[in-house]
Amino acid sequence: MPRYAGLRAVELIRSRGFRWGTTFAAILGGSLLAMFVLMFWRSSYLLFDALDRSVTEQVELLAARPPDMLVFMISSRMNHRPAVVTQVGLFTPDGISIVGDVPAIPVGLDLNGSVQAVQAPASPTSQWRAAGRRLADGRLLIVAREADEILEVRADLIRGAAAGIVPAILLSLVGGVLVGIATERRLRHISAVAERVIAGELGERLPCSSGDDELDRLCAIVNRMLERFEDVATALKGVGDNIAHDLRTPLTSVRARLERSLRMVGPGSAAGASIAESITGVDRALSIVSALLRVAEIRHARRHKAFVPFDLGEVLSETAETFRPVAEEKGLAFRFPPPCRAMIIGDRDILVEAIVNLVDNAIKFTPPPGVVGLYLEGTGEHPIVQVIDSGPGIAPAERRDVFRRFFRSDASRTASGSGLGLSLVAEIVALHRFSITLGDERPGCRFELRCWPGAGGPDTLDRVEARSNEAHGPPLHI
Amino acid sequence: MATILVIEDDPETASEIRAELVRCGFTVGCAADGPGGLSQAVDGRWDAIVLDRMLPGLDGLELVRQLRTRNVTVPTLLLSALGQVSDRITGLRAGADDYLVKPFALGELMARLEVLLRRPSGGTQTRLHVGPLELDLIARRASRGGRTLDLLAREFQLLEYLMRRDGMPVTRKMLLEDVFGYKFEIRTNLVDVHIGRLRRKLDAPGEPPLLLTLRGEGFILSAPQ
Repeated sequence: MPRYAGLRAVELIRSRGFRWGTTFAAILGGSLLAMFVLMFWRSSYLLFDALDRSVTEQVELLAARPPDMLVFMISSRMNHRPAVVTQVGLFTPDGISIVGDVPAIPVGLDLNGSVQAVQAPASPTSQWRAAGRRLADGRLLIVAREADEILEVRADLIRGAAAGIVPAILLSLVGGVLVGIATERRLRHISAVAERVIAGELGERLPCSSGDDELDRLCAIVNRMLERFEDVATALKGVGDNIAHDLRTPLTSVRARLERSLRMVGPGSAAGASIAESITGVDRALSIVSALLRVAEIRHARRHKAFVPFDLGEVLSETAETFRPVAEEKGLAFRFPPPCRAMIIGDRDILVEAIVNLVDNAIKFTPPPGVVGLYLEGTGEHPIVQVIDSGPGIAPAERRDVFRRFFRSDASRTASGSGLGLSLVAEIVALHRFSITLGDERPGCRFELRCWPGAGGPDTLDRVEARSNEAHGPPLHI
Repeated sequence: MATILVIEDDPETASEIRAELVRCGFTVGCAADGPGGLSQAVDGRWDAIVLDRMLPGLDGLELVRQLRTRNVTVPTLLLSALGQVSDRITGLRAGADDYLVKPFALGELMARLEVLLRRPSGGTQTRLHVGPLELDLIARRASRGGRTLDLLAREFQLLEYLMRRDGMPVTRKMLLEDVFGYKFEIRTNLVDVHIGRLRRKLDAPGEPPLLLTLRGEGFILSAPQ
């Protein structure tokens, strides 16, 4: 498909600017053509009318003269200087020229006295307006006048019109195409921004040029709308965070009171057991509150990034050293091939948190005897951390949701945890503009953390979904 | 018994802390705002101060800073609803000795307070002793009664941390944060696994146990009586 200024031809033809351009060209061309036709018709009518009247007048004039004077009058007209423009001829009833400068009766001339267009008998390229009539004595009188000049004027008119109208139509078409391209480009820019907004980048704004055309005004309105959306979205998220924040103090004091009661009744009694259970419940609520606030904290950290270069390989080694005993104690094999050095730029503390979360999760949900693996793959510039386990895996339908707040699959209802672990990981990944994908190990699952900025684009979660549609697997954990 | 000043503006939290401290035998003073807290804090009769980060009148951080500029060296424990690592660091930089993020268990607060009250006798020591245990920080060698202990790096760190706080309860959270550097929740029994491994190396069959588990609280390392 041919492309013009980055647009496909079909897009161009569909564009509003192009359609406006062609419509305008059609209207302009049509009205110019109508004007020309009127002018052409009117001017040729007037020119021919004047000429025809002079021919008619001559015929009437000469026919009214005494018949014996005619020959003299015609021959004296011929010698008249300056020469008169009408040509006159007198012929015998059988068409032989008696006198005059009309050499022969023009072919097809009806001798009824009316003016007709005929071919000049002497020169085939010349056109005459001629009239003829049979006189009372039987002789034939022909009056003619050359029409070549009028015909030439008419031809000039047509040529002039062609030279004017065709370029005007072409120019308006070209104008339409140019306007179409310009409009289409702006619209593309706008739809690219809109796509990013849909992908969750609520801070994006439509481009407004300095002009004040309809599109600019529309963009300004949409931008105001987006601002409002962003405020509402922020407020909504804030509500959750505020609730979490406000719950902390009362929960803490409830817990303290329960602890005191437990001490009073003694842990051995039935009441004591029930209080101990309540404390466990409050602890779980507190851990959810803490995790929620941690997610909010990381989201807000976007504003004050403290990114430094550090070795990802070293982070993995430390994590492996810490978690290998935990896996082995549980009866799992822990695989960790010594990694190479891989310098990346980021917030080391919270990236450790993300990786530890994935490993901790994998060990937690893999039943023995199983395998948990931590690998550093990819090239120097583009390191990929893989956390692989042989656990129950994650159902494709649930793979997108595992990165959302509070999602816990059926398989994990009985396991402890706030259900916020992977949403925390997703926030950390988004903060760094890295990407995380979730694949299938049949059985088990494989998290891949791509550690370079822009690895996932703005729509990290969509990529997760796209990938997770590729494969099937047993239900999931988080 | 030690005297503790609690500066906390939330009456409920203040009364919980106070009740727990009294139960543990401390003498407790209370203040509900920054300026009141500061005027009590400077009078030199406190063994430790527990204060909230956000206080009306005078911010907790600023209060600690002012104490330090007046050469009041009483140990302070900041309580805060802000949990970010950077907040913890600013808290400690301002001169606070420990930092506890709300919500916390009262046991956690007591454990940390006890550590503060018996501040480890200086990080400058190169050899630590607890009963038959000896830790050489320079040679990175650990031994129990002459028997060399073959410890991994992480186990060595754990043991050093516990030996510096011998006889004091140490919570899982303290170990997670200070030894492993994880200031977030872990769902596996990470701390218990490492403590278990360390314990198996410390206590040979037949030897009296040095590293005990305190049910629901954490661990304690102490010399056998």
